[in-house]
Formats: sequence, structure tokens, C-alpha cells
Amino acid sequence: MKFLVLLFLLFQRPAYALDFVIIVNPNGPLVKADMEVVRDIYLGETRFIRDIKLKPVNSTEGELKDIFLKRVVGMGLKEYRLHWVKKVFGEGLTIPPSFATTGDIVGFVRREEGAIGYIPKEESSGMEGVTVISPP
Amino acid sequence: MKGFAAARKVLVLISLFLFVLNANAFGGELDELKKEVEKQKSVIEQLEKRIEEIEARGEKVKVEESERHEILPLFGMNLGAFGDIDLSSQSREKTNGSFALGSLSLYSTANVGERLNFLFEMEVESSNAKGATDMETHVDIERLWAGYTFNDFLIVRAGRFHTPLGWWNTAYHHGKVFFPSVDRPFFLQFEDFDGVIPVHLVGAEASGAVASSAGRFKYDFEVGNGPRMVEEGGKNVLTPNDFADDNNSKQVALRLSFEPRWMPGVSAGVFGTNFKIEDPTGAVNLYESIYGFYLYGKRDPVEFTTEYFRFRNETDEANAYYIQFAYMLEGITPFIRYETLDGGKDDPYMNALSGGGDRFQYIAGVKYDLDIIRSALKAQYRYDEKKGEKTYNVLEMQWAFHF
Repeated sequence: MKFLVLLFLLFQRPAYALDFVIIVNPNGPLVKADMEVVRDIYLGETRFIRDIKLKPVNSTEGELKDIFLKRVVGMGLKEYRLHWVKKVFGEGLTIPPSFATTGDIVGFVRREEGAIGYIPKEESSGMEGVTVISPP
Repeated sequence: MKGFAAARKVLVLISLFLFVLNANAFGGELDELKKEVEKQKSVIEQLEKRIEEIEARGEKVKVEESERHEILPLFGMNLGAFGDIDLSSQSREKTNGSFALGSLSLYSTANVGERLNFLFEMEVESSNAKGATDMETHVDIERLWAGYTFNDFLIVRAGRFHTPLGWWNTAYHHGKVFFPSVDRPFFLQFEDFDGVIPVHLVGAEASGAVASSAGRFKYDFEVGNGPRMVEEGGKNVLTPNDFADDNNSKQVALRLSFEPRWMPGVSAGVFGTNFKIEDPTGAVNLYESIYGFYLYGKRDPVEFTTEYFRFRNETDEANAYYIQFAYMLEGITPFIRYETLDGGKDDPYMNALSGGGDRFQYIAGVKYDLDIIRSALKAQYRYDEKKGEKTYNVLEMQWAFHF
């Protein structure tokens, strides 16, 4: 019985200490985007929707970015960086910018029509000018 | 009674006196306070004015910098280099065990606005002509293109590209730090290193992708100057026609690929190209078709790559393929690869090229990532057998880097 419980626990998804929400510009084309599309955007595979340039932003490196990359993009930080080095070198693209604070990320998403970002869930209440599309 | 009344009067007088005295004192403090408040108000107003001036100047600096940025050259703002240093025992390529400057590839990219971008890649390399008495270092423009993105389905570029034939050529370009082996499969080598496939093309390209619930469909189409054969160091090699086509026929190349959603990290595709080619003597003058398929898969910790090429002209056919397995541990990647070229006996294309003879190799080695993006150490054993020539057992090491 103890063995079964241990086995069960081993295959549980880890509970992340930090939860996040994904925010988009309410006037942009991403208000109904699903996680597959979000993944493609952060990998530079989908760059335009309805002729609007998509602008993903990252948080600066830390727990929030690690959790987002793992859960939504399906990569660790090193793998993500490697992916973008190849995108830059191969296709001449630019890696998504990173912002240090929630305020900066929210401000950017509010301003830019094609913007998408992620912020800690605990800091997401009372935000104006952005739309939360999905807590993943 | 009288005394009491007098004392009371004196007391009242004293109280009154004290009250007036205190009132005066209090009033004085109040005045002092008022003066201090006025003074502080004045300081605050001055500070506010100063902040406004600084902010206005900051905005002006931002505008000036933004205007300057608009006209500053962009070349070099995103500048990188790939390089490698090699150590090898005696091989088909090197008469003696040798250290070698591998290659130095410099690249730069720039983006203007939302749709325009540019890429430049230049390689500095030493000649590997075996037996040559004079090793030369020369500079090649490997890739140079301008691109415009209409949307995800249509990206148009003009310039010099790596042809979209197979997987390896456009996945790694000149970035040796990205793949586990010391070098590319021999038949996929660059033209001046005895490759038998035109891996560069000068012309125009259209590429794009369509996403669906099943996965992502991609296409790459190129049209441009086909290659020619030139004589270099007593042998015939392919070379892209960078400055003028040597015939009126244009090379076309097309690749269609698919990345399924249910299997992230997997890509499969088919490709083909056709071009007219002549050798320096004019004895070879034919249309060559090369087509094939590839399959790439990366699901940690395994990476699998295979590409198959079929060469065809009016006289004969040839085949080439490789299969590679890599197992990615924490920073260490052991790998094995088998690669082979089986030229048709009467194939004028393969017979004319110095790299065209029947050949196969077994390679086994390990790559250690000092940094997954910046630097890797590699060591491998290579068994190299070529029809009609000596067989080699080669030990090789490489320090590949990117900065």
C-alpha cells in the first residue's frame, strides 16, 4: 500500500510555488488564443495574426519565467535560449524582450495591440487595460 | 477677607500676565512655523520644477537617441561568430596528424520595423587541399539576404541562401557548436570541401508556414543560379554561381515539411531540386535532379536524424543517406552515425566530381557542452572507407564555440 502511494506521488505534477496568468491586449488578435498558439508565439513560429505583428514579452530570468517556459512552451531555460539562438542565426529573428517588473509587462501589453505577456497571479487583480486569456 | 480678595486679584493678574506672555510666545512659534512651512513650500516648488526640467530633458534625450538610432547603421549591433579548433590523426583530408584552424563564421542580423530583416554570414577558412604545399586562407560570403515578411505564410528573401535540401543544411548552417559530430556528413559538405550537393544558391526564396490542429506545414521554395563545376587543385568541385549564371537554366529547389502537434520535436519532409550543370571540359553537360526525404526527432534524451538523397540524370542514378542517433545526458551527448554515398557506375555527374566516389563512414563519439550555446568539446572515432582508395581509422577532437 505504501508502495502504491509512493508510486502515485512520484507521478504527480509538481506543485509550483508561483502561479501566473497570461495577459494580452484587449484590442488585439489574441483574446481567444489557446495554449498551442501561445507556445507557437513564444517560439517565434507564429508572428502575425490578422496582419498584426505579435509581440511576446518575457519576465526577466527567475522562477516565474522558468515555470512559464516549462508549463506553456515545454522547455527549460537553456533549451529556450538555444532555440532562439538558432532562430536568430538561421532566420534573422529577434528574441522576445524581457521586462523586470509586472508594471513594465502590463504597461507594454496595454500599449501594444499584438502584445502578450505573463505575470504572477497574485499581482493580477485590479488590472485595467489588459485581458487575462487563460490561467494555464 | 480683604487679604483674600487682594490675593485673588493678584492671582488673576498673574494668570493674565502669563497667558499674554504665553500667547506671545505661542504666536512667535507659530510665526516661526509659518515661515518654515513657506520655506519648505518654496523648496518643494523648486524641486518640482527641477524634476520637470529633467524629465523634459530626458524625453528630449530619448527622442534624440531615437532619431539617432533611426539612422545609425545596424550592422554589427547583433554580431556573432562561430569557430572551431580541431585535432585529427592522419585521414583522407590530412596527410599527418594535425591541429587545425577549423573555420570562423561571422554573422550579423538586423530587423527594421515589423517586417524587414537582413542577414549576413561570412566564413574565413583555410584550404584543406591534401598535399598542397601552400595552405591558403580565403573568405567566402556564405549567406547574404534581405527579407520581407508579409505574414506567416509568405516570407520573401533575395540573396544567397543555404538550399532547403534535407534537414542538416538549414538546421545548423555553419554552427558546429550545435551538432554533436566534428563535421557534417561527407556528402553534405560544402561545395569546396568535396560536397556533391549544391548547398548554396543565389537567387530568390519564398517560405512560410500554415498551422493547423494537426500540426504545422512548412514550405521553402528557391529559384536562382544553378551551380557549376570548377577545377580546384587538380579536382572538380561544385561552386555556386554567385555573380553570373554560366547557363540560361535556373535551379529550383522545394522542400515541404510537417511538424505534428501530437509529437513535439519531430519534423519530417520531402525535398527536390533540378539544375543544369557542366564540367570545365564540357564533357559533362546534363540536367541533374536530387530529391529525397528527411526525418528529425528530438524527445529528451534521444535525438534521431536521417536524410536520404537520390541523384538522377539521363544516364544513371546514385544514392546517399545517413542515420544518426544521439543520447543527451546532462551536458554530455554520445552519438553514432552511419553515412554512405553509392554512386552509379556510369553516372557522369558523380564520376566528374572529386567527392563523387562510393564511400561510407561509421562515426562514434561524444560531445560535451561547456555551455549549451557558447562552447562544446567533441571527440570521435571515424572509420572511413572509399572505393579504390586507402581506408582510414581517424581519431578527431574539436573545440567548437560561439560568441
